[in-house]
Amino acid sequence: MTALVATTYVNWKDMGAVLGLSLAFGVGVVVVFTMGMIAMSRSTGGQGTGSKTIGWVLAAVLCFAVVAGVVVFAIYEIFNKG
Amino acid sequence: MEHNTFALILVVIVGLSFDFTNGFHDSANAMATSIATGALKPRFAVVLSGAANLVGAFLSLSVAATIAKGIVDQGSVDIFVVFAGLAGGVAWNVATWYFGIPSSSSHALIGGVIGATLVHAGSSAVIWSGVASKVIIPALFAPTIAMGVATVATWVAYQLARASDETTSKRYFRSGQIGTATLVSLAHGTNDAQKTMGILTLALVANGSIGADATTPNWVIVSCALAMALGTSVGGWRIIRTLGKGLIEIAAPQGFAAEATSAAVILSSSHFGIPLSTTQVCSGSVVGAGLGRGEAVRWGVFGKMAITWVVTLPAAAAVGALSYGLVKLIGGNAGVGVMAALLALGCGGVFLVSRKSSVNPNNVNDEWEGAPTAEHKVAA
Repeated sequence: MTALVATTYVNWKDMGAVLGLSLAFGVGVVVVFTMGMIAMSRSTGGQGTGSKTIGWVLAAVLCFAVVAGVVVFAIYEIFNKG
Repeated sequence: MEHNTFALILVVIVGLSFDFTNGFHDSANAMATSIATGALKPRFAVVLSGAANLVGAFLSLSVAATIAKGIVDQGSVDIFVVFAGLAGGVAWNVATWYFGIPSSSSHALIGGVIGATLVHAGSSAVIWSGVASKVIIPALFAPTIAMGVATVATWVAYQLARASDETTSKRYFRSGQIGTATLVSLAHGTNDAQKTMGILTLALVANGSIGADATTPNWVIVSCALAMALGTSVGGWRIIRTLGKGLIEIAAPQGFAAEATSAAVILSSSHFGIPLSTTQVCSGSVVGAGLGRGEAVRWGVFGKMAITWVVTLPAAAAVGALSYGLVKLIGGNAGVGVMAALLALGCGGVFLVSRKSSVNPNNVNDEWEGAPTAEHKVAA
């Protein structure tokens, strides 16, 4: 009975895709954002000077830009849902 | 087709009332964790969520989903079925709000329509395979997927955040929460406001006010968007408290991970056309955020939620069936009028009783009785 329900009513392919996409975007955003946060705190924390500081700032900006890009993409997805 | 303006006006009023309760019921989904971690002040949070809901309702107007499509035979739906279905949805939303339990407004509405349809046209008019594939199966997967993803996201966030100091991580994660919570509100506005737009359009078609192929009238779009935004801005503080304080002792990194997960799951499922409940996704994410930190979860609170999710469909169906039966027993417009009055009295009564144990922006973040006992002291 359970097997019948599982094969008849559950679209495992789409459900798996939802899980995969959710993992990629959910965990991905958290990872990139946290890396941006670490890079920013390194740039202002006195850990290195000159080019190293600029490097941390650039890394932070890149990370936050990626997160912002994902958010914009999400809004685009909402907009184009129909 | 017989026109019934009186019934239609009451359907629109009850429909917008449902939209309002949907808003204040679901404001917790997006903002509970942001309020609990102090990322946003309570009143500002719900107003921001309301504004995002309003924008979201207009972002994608082509959907205007007919909520009962594929679940009941659309040919069996008349204006009284729509009225009774909405009554069931409103009653269940208000009851679960009183007990502070986050439950799916969409499932409540679907349950109400199913109950009314059963009385009106019998079980053959209900597409049970649709009920299974669009309600029951997604209800099993929504919290499970969200819980799993949030567990991983939270664990990763805490592992990485070790490289940063606590004050910095708290500040950044709180800022991030504002963005992710707003995104959840946007998605919620797009999904849920359009469900009411769809059912009001269905009522207009059933009443013969517009043709079956007509698009959703502008006044329906605007009024539904405003009703939901207003409801969200009022804030369902009881549910916000349960989701923000009742499940786990939430910190900023967990709140950020939970909201990012919720947004990812809601938008991914929406992309594939799988109707996962926003409420169940957000609740699952919060529990996952607790598990990812190795923290004790108040499983008793989550258990009550899960039981409510199971009961939502049949309970709302019972109210929908009762409402429809009463409308038909009294007959026509008088029946609709009496039922609308009873619904208003019932909701008013619940609101008055709720004031004895008021939850509001001032006490929404008070300590939850029965703190988790397990050790959960992890970095930051």
